[in-house]
Amino acid sequence: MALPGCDVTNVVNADLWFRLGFKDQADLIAANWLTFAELYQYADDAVKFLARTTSLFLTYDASIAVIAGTPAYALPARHIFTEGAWLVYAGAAIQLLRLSSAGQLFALDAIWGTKTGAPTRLSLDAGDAVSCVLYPNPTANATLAQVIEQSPVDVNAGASALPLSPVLESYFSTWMLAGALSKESDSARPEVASHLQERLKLMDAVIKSLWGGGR
Amino acid sequence: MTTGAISALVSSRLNEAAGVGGPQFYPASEILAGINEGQRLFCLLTLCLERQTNWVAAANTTFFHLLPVIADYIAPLRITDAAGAKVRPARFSELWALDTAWPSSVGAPIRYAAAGADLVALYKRPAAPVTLQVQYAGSPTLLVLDADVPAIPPEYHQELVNFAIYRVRQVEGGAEFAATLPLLDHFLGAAQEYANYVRARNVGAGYDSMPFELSSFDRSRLVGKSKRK
Repeated sequence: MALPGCDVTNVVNADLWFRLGFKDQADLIAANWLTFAELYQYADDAVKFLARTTSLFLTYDASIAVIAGTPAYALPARHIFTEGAWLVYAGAAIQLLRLSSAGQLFALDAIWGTKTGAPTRLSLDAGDAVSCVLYPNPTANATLAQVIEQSPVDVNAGASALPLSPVLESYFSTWMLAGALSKESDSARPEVASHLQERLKLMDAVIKSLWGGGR
Repeated sequence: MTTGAISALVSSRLNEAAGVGGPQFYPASEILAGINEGQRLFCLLTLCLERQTNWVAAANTTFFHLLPVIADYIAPLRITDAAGAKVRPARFSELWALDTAWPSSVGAPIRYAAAGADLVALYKRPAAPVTLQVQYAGSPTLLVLDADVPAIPPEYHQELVNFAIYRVRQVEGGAEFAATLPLLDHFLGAAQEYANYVRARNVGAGYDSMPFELSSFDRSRLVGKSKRK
């Protein structure tokens, strides 16, 4: 008995071709209806959907070095949302950062952009969509530590392993089947695709219940 | 029931006797895939597979990903230290309320916060590697051989027959597929029933995770039933 992790390739290689109505993988390719790249693209769509609507891909990040006098920092690659943030100073002293909108910063301090001191707040919307801003402008170096929702790397044939429980493999097979069977073609089975979309809704509810909703 | 017995029942109910050459329209490999998918879904819906393992938490580390060390991990049920004392669950906000420097506080772990698929934070973080006992809801091992026995309770093995029939007939679509939706409904009803039992049991045991409330999900559109008014 085997226990593989969650890997989209397990699903593609197992039996997706049968469930799409083909006798084997070669038959699927020969039909010239659906490519494997399309199947992986459907899986990538599913991953992106889960990343932005659930907290499945939560991780700890301490990659941002805060420099005195610099309030704005580029967020980590593939960052979706920050669930919690704090500064770690030399000697391991900690300062919790309250997440605040730009509107809250203006309400707190009309000239918040010019204030300097030890940061106590972090704003995800005071700068552009891919940066965060500290308030007040820091006067000492530190490390910005965050618990973040992050989208994993793009799914394709060469990168298909996901940091998820293997019980979720069927989520990706369901998404791929629903997508493929909805595709405009003589092989479309919209009634099955519609059913599979409902299956995904059930899975979404289970995922949010067990592992948390997204931003 | 063994996997072989479940497969034979599926074939039989699809009017494919396991004679010379085995089932034709619904291959044995497809039936097996259906049984495995059904078992995984049942375990996800009920959190019925309770497992236990020792986990060595590295020194001076607060955040951990559990899937690399516990491959079949779904959700935590209970974490205890070497002496058997419970490491109590907490939310991040509760840890901040407890200690404004909790991410760097060093000592024996007394609280943990679990979030996302497998992220776990320990408070306090250990000064030296520490062995913790983790009870968790796990995912089932894939069934491969005819002699393999599903890990879910035997009284629910028949539901794997129902799920496998529903799954293998998806390929046909139309009325043939629609005719299998009551089987899916039966499968989900059984999962709901067992999840209720597991939930009551987990409350009694003081476990930290509960199965999904399947009754809160309107599955009328999923199984092709009209909602009663």
